[in-house]
Amino acid sequence: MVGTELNFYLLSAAIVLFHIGMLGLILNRGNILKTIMSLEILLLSVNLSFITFSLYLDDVVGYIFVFFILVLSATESSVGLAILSVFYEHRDDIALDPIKIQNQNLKT
Amino acid sequence: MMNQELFQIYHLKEMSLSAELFLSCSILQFTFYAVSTAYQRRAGFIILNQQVYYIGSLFVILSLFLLLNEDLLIMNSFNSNNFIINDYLSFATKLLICITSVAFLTIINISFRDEPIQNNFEYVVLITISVLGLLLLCSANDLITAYLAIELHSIAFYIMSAFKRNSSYSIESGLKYFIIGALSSAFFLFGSSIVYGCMGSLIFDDLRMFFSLLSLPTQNNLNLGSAIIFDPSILSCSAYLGENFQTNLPQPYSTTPDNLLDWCFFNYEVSVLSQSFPSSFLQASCNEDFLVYPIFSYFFIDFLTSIFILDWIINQEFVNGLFLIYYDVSFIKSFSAFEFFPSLSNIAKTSIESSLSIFYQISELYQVFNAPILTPIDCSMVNLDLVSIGFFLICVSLFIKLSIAPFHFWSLDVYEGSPSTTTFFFAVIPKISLFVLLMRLCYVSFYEIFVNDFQIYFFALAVLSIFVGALGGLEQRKLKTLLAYSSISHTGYLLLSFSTGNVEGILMMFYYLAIYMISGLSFWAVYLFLIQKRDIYYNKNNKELGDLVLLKESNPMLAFILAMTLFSLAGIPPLVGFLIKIGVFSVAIKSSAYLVSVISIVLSVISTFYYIRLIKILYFENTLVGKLYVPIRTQKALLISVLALSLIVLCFDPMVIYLLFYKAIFIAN
Repeated sequence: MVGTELNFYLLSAAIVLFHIGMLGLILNRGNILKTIMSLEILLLSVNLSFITFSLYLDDVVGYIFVFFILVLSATESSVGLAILSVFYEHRDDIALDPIKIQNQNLKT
Repeated sequence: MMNQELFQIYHLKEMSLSAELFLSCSILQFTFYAVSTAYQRRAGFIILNQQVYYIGSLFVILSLFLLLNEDLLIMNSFNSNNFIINDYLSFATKLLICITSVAFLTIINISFRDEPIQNNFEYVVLITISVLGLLLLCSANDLITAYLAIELHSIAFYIMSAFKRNSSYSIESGLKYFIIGALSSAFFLFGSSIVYGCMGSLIFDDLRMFFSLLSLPTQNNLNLGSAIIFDPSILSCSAYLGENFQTNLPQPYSTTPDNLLDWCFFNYEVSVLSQSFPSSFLQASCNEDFLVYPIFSYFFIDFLTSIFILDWIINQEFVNGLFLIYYDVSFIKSFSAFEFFPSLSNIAKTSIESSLSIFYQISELYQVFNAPILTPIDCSMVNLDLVSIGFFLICVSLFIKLSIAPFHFWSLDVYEGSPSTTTFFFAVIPKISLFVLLMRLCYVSFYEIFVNDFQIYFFALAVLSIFVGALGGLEQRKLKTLLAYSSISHTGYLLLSFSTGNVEGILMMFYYLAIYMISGLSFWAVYLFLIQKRDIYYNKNNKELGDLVLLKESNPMLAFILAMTLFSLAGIPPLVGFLIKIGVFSVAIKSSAYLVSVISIVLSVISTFYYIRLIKILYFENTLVGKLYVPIRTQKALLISVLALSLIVLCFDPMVIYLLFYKAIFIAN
């Protein structure tokens, strides 16, 4: 009984975290660093849900997948930060809005 | 002697993933070599420009030979813990990917020769890494492997699209691609976590078996939903069943608990069966509080398996649980006549017979008591809606990667901003392996959900992306954005023939992919070889449509080949594009999707407009002022003419590609 309730809370925490990350990705207009942080939140919430499910099922595959996701999210964020640093060299700013303006020019 | 046997065991032909292993090892060694020579002061900062492209294409060619060397029949039996599948589908698609990436590497090697010298061996490393990821994605048999392969190639793609460090467009597009790609991989992971939680496994074969078991009674259509409830607690107290149980039984099989336990602990070749029996499947559908174990009549086809299941039930000592046993009454009756299995009767006649008769008695008893009629889906405790949400999220992630219509907005900016060679790679090569993954998901593992719920949405997305590709390209002036819209509409045709759901549709999809890759290679080769005459350092990469006005004056053959490729993309008869387009439409009509096919035919006519407009700019403009292009070298001319000739030859003799893919599609059945 206790285990089931714990699973329920963990799972709902994972879903809430996923939605927080998604909202952070959608609503954030200012900063690219915040975007990368919310991407990290997305991946970590998925990790939490995998851990919960593999606790629930008493299966080891979920734990294995969690390690893979950890490594790959670290790789992904390092690549993103590298691109971000090059981006900063170009325009001394990491705001998101100027990208859109530039693209309007670029399309027409 | 011993060594020889070992060598025979690990024969190269029978080694799973030999091509990928070779490619990854050689990428590592090549990176070490290139870093140690190119960045060393002692070596004099050697410029590695042409050699590295030769080495990269050599790697891919050698792995192509390893691929051709593989012995698929033997490799299929070694499934390497179900992470990797080596079937004909993965073989054919890997072959196609290797051939096109060799052609791609050759084209960019030749086109870089006329550019100012730059020391960029990393580009080749990234290309080979992404080819490795695409190859692994083709043979993924597991959501974990699929995720790792997708990440492997898409991380390389982020860096490739941000590769031109001095151009801010390139870096912006790399950043956008990074954000969208990470979002789509988060969707993929969330969907696969939901699938894992509901089904208890991530392997495609397990998921397929799960669905096939759920749908079994509807397929057989025999005694739908009859079920008995077998309670193990009757072993300890038979009072649960009432007195009927005892009186109904024939005399030799009295119902003392000792007798019941006798047949239950019957260990008859159980160790062999225990490996084939999917215990994960049973564990997947169990809950901690209320133990309900669905056991389907499927297992009772194999008689020994049924005995094993009973043994398993008793050994687990789930006294509190209920077992729902689906069965077919006529089936059990036929088993009671035991003469059909004379070989078994010698071994343990009494045990098996007693077990069967007890089963029969229990079932009769419960029919007297009006056992609830339950379908397997009701009893299996699987929330199929939740599974379909997970499948939906995985599909959304793959659609983002494929840039299908509602998820296509990133692709325009990324295609426009990235360096031309990177756009070439994005546009041509990665679609096929993503479609292979989509096919494994939709037609192997989630077939029930796909056919029941998702097929119409797939059709809608296909039509929508054809629509966006047709109407969005009308007002574009940039050639690369035009090509992005064109690729969106071609992906729509691919999805249209993919979602028809029959074998011809899937064959046509692979055929379309192969032809699309060849015509894409031809178009982008022409695009990369157009170099303006004015100044070699002022090489504007963003070509507009108006820049092509004087191409027929400066290089008529190049203009002709470009026009031919555009005709092929538009689908005009003497070229191969016509054949694949009419194939897609005929497949859609055959599967009686009339409205979808009419709409897509009309939209394809609209999308012909911008191809024809390009041809009009090439040939029918009477301007005297424009940009001139340098004449091209012999190698470039050879490559382009081979690619353009293949567009004509394949129209008259398309059997090569048909034969490549015709065996590949039989996993769909």
